[in-house]
Amino acid sequence: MTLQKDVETQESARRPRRRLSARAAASTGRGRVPARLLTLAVVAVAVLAFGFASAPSVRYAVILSVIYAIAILGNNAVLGLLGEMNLSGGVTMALGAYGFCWFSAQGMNPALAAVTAVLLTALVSAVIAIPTTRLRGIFTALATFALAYAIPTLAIYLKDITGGDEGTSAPYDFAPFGLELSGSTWDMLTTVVVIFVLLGALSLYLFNARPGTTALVVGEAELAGTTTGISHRTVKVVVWTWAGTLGGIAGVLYALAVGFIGPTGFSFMLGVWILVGGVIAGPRSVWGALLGGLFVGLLPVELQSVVPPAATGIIFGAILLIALLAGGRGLAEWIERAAPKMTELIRRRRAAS
Amino acid sequence: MDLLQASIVLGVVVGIVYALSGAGLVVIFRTSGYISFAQGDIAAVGLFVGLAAYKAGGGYGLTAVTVILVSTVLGGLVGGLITIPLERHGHLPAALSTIGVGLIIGGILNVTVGGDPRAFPEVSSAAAFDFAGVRLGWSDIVGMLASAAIFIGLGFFFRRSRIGIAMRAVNDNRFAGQILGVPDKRLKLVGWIVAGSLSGVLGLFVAPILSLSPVSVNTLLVFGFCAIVIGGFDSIFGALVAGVSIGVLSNLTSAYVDPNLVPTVLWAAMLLVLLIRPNGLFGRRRLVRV
Amino acid sequence: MTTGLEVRDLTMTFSGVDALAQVSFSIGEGVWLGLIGPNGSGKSTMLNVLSGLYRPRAGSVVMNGHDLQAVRARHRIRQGLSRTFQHPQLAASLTILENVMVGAAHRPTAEAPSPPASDSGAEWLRRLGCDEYAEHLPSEAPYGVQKLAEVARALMSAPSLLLLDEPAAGLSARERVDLVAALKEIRRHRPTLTLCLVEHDVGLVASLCSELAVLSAGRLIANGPTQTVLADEAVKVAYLGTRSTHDATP
Repeated sequence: MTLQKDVETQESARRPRRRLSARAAASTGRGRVPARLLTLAVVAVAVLAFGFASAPSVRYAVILSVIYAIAILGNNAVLGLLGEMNLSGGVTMALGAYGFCWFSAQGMNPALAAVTAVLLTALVSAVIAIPTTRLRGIFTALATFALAYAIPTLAIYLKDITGGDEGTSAPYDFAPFGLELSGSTWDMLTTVVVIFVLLGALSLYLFNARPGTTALVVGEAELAGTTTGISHRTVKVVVWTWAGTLGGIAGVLYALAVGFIGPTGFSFMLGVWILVGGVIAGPRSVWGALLGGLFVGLLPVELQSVVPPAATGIIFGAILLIALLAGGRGLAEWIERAAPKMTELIRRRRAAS
Repeated sequence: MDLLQASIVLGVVVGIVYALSGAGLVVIFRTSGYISFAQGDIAAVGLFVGLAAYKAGGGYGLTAVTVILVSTVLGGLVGGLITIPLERHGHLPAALSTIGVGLIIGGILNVTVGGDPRAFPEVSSAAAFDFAGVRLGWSDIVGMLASAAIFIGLGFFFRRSRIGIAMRAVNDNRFAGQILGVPDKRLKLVGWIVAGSLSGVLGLFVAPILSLSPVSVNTLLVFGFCAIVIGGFDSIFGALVAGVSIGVLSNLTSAYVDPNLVPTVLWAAMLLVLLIRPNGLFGRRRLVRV
Repeated sequence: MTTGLEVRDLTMTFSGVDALAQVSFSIGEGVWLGLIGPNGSGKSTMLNVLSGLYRPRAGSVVMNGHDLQAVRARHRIRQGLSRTFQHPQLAASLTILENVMVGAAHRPTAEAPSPPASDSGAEWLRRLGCDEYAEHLPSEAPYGVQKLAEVARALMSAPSLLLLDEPAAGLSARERVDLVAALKEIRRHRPTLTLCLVEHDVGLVASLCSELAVLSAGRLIANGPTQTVLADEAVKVAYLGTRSTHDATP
């Protein structure tokens, strides 16, 4: 009896740690899934409450922010897991949005059109990813930048499908389950937030399970992946396809919220914002993606009352540089690191008084 | 037939400018190992200062010198103060910082001079001579000759000069600079300075054609990106060949299909090259280092 | 059919220079062979060719009777070939144990689908003496542990041939002692494992390997039982005679 207890103590002494340290969890964005899910839920509820309480114009900006956040969440997989730069987040949004409008215009049931548009976006993303990921690391930025740059003029060229310069409209009578999905309605806000939370939870699960591990090996130790039997090409294409799929979903929601889409909505800057939003908020954090979306969608609206619209680039550029100087892991990681220290501080103060 | 000839000849002329855009990116890639997204914005600042000098009564020569000087200094400042120090966090943050710099410069220009396009002077608006039935202006000829001189100069710089040779090696081996007696931070800085002046020269050729706005030189970045992917990242010669090919290809597309399709065709050409030759037409095959 | 590894007339050229020139040697099943030679003699190149990262210009690599010529690098693990790297290739965001488990994804098809519990990643980490770092990130663990984690990962696929690329490089004297103990532990648990050890530390190699192969400037200058090779004059001149110079380099 005593002997067994001795062995047990020895065992526990040998393994001082059963899980990642708080610092390691914050810097890698891994582990602590229940706590992360809770944070995601809390932030989502806060965004919902803010949206409900706001005037329709601000609520509209919040809805767009959450839609950007969905695209950012996908893009973050490419940036955070593979360490590759994807500037085609806006391209996949355009594909989803135009696809949705076109399929609906062909008389397809809008719900079916939405699913088809997302699947089409996923397929196109996979095909494009095959040559794109031959560029290593950050150089994927070059091909995706060229593509993002081509989209507005391509949309004008394909005017039979896209409506050219004049644009095309989303189905306006789309009301699944009686939800009024357009503009700044409460239903629209709830729907985008729920979709974000579902995709966020799925991301968290995948990131901490086998797919996440495999992608991280490819991103951080590619040679080790090769010698342990992992095909880095396949893994990269899968991750890029995931990003494209989320971009497609964001595109469909964007078309619904905006109601009318044209080439000017999908300039190459949209892809830049989606990338930058992810970097500022933290590419490994799921709730950070929501924060990034708010940066991109809401901050310019709020800033316009303080600085001229033309100057928002200065603020964004400065925030981006500060985020990079701080180590490039983003605001979310910084908050995750600071939060335990803050609670500790508060606890001590209470104990002292 | 005339359309075909004009497309090809003018394609070569503009292609050399695209190649110059690629060459500036290659210089930074060779020394630092990543790509700058801020080169267009750096050139734009030089061009606006140059335009002010021109309006104040300075001749074209003074304007050109001002543009190149400002771009050179700004290129060095961006590289030396922001991007190279960020390399300690890795190549990704360093490359991302150039996007941040671009946003800031673009924002400042928007606030100070506004987004409206302005006319920018060219070296001469006179026609020079006809070549293969196509009329070439003096500004085309000067542009081509200057670009050719720059390419030859870069070739000599990288092959013959001590700093140039060290710059070629520094990205492969960070001890290369030390062995040749030049600190590698300084080599990288030289890369940024050279790239800054190249973007200034590029701006001088582009601004009269596209007219000057905070974003107009940025347009050329896309062509530069295509040039280096197709040409192979580390090859100045590759950038030249690819730039000229891109110029001809985009002119032909524009003339025979639709100008709106030009960026898409360039992107498709880039992907095609990546599928057939992943390291570009003239790039070295990179060996995994273990 | 021969078991173990057989290398025939292997030639590898980098931009006109022969990094390996018609090198032939073999390792019998269960034999531990030390591959030694001065810097730049082609040892690492040899490992990269054997593991399929480099494609040789000529020659063949036959393992357990299978020609590996057409087998891609990432498929060689299914043939029972596994390797480590001189500079540990560990994913920075995965724990040591997670990194080790990456090696378990592709066990050779001939092996039983589920490995015995005694061969789990945690068990190998314990045998190699670094289980206390299982839940640490590589950056939180000592360099010696990172290198042993690579070895554990390579063992997870239950290989028949293990290639170790300078496992002692960068380790302190204390860590080298631990490394030798860990490698002996591997031999105790896997007596049939064939091993090719590339290493600078001749003393360490001699204490572990029964056979040696010596490369110099891409050529094989000696091959045979350890004591015979170490007594060879040509080896002393080419390698041991210049030992002081290459010990100084990283």
